Amino acid sequence: MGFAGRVATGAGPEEAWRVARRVEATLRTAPDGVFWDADRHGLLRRAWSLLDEIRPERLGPEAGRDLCLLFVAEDGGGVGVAGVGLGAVWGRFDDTFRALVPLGHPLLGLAGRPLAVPGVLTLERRPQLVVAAPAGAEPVLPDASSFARRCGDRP
Amino acid sequence: MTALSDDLLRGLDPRRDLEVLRGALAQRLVDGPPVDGIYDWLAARDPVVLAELCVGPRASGGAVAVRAALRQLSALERVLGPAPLYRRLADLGGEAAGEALDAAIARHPDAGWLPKLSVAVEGVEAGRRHLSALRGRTGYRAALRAWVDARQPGAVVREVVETGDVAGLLVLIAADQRAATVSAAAGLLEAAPDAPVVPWLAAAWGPDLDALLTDVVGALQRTAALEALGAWLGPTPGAAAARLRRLGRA
Repeated sequence: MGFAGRVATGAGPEEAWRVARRVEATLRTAPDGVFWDADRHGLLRRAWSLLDEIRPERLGPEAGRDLCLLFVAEDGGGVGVAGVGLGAVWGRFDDTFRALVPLGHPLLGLAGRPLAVPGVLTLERRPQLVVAAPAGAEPVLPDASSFARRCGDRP
Repeated sequence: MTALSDDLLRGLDPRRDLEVLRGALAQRLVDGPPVDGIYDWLAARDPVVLAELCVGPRASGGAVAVRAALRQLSALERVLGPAPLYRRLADLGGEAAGEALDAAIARHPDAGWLPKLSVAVEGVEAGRRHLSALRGRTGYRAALRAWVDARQPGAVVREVVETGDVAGLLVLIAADQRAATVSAAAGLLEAAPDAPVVPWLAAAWGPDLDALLTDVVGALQRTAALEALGAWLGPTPGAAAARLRRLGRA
């Protein structure tokens, strides 16, 4: 399972770093607790459950109301995409990006911890890459010249 | 030789009697009364002649002459572009060259030609006077960027390390100055091992920090900095391993 996100947007770099590491460390334990439902759906349920256990005040000044997360989980049966606080989601297939869902799809929605376990978008074909724009940002894919950098990928 | 009085000099025609003025003022700059009164008169009467005397091809050089010229900058800038004016003043100024640079910084803090002038005056210390003059002012970040654009990122690195201000680090990252970013980050950590350099790097560089931090680890010299950095390297296994190797624990 891979994940990316945006946390503690109103915090300074130090607090945002701490919150990001806290969320990252928590989510990295997701596979450890999966025993009887070790498929992609089980992993995602476990990730949401772990996220729910983090106390709100430990998610930054907005207490997690600004949380944006993208999960991609894969097993032998396919790829599942889930998230919260997403404004648009794209997948790269054959080196070309295309939107995975149209505007208004349940995968897209407001930031903040979900009240119930979100649904999962199942992809029959494995994308080379999945990227998302956080809710509130312009739902436009960055152009090729700045794409890698906008995703935090620098040589 | 008897110095000509201010009243006598003011009776001259500046252009017709240029050489008389030049001789009289050159004498004064060596051992006579101040030239400021005559310079003030020339600034009002004929600033072109003032410029000829202060910075022309046959201008008197030396600190005293240039300091007197620096008191006439408003008039001189009316007839000369600032870039060649300050370069000439710096060239003529001897030990007052730095004062010419300071005047240029004070009057044109965001000029694109400042880095070149600074390099000519300060050499390896280029940027020190400019950046220190602008610390805490609104143009500070633009000045940092100007030094990067002038291909002098070392000036920004030094500024970051000496001030502990991460503003320069962010400018280096925004300009894709990877090597300078590594130097600045390492310098910050050497100076203050507990400084939260890594969160700032993450905020500006992005989440994929491992390779960058591995280079930072390689640039660190002090054991204290290497020890303290360990607290930040949880999500960057490559950098964490490099740190342990540097500390002889791997």
